[in-house]
Amino acid sequence: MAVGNVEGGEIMWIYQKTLQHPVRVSCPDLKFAKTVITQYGGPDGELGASLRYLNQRYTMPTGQAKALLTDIGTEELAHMEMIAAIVYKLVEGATPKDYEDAGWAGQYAQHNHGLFWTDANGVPWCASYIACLGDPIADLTEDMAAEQKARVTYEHLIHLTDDPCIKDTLRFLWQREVVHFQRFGEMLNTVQEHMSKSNMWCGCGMKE
Amino acid sequence: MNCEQQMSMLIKVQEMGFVALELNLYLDTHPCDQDALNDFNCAVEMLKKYKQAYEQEYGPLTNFGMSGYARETWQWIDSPWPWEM
Amino acid sequence: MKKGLNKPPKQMWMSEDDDCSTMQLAHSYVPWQYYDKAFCPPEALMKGTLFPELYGVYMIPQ
Repeated sequence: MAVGNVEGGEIMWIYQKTLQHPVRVSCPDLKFAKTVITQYGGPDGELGASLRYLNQRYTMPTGQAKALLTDIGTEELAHMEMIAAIVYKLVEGATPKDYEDAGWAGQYAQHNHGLFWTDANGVPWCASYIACLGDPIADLTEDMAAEQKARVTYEHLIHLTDDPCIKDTLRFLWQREVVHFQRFGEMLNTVQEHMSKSNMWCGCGMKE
Repeated sequence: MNCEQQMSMLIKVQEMGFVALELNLYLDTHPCDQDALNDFNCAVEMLKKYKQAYEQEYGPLTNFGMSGYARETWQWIDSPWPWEM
Repeated sequence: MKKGLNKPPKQMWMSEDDDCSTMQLAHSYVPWQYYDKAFCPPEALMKGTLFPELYGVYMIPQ
């Protein structure tokens, strides 16, 4: 998992050699691998989430907001690794014929057992999935929407698998989205407060 | 089995690391919450111990000098890696 | 002792440091969480949160 480091070492991101939460699969399942990969490289997946937050943090107005976006952005990298681990385990030992039978021959042709950032339909990750308006209210509101979309996507994925081990892992990731939504919401409260106080003219103080 | 013991020691690191992370995020939006601050420090204390115990047995959890000195062999390259566990 | 849950609705979104803020139209707010109890570490990791008040606010998918 990813750990953000600000002291020591030459480098500002430190990798910790453990998953954030254990990942187990009961048996190989390429059809589900093809589906769950949407949380690796899809529109509401963990790569997009991480890059969105890590990129927005530069133009946040307060130390609190910079910290929160750095921290959640870093946590999302750990989640991306968990999705990678799920896919890695689901395709372990699969033959080319297995890929074909799962309707995932294109994946084998282009990547063998390698991972790649696509959605569940093979569409590659795209920077258009994320935005940065440089306006804290717009950006934090987008972040809240992103967490809701990720939460819903995890619900869909949980419904699409019968594997109890995978369901456990996906439920963990689902709950993280709920917590992140709360944190971004609190940060929006704070940032809106900050901006109305530091604004020369703000709505609540205006008189005719 | 050795890998069962490795997993059970790693779980303690994961659990306490998670507590520290949750409190970290909470403190980002509640920086003056004294209870949370104290609990965070308790979690850090426990996490240090669990990490030390794990690294003593199974090698470093972090690279670039963040897990301290190397021993006789370069353990960072050892298996298993997280997606293999 | 945190009394966040007993705050009147208008003030539920204010942090303890706020003095006399009001909500503005065309702005969105979430209620503040106030940390009181926590799950034990194994349960927290299993559930995906340290905080009981954040667990079950949406129906847990099965």
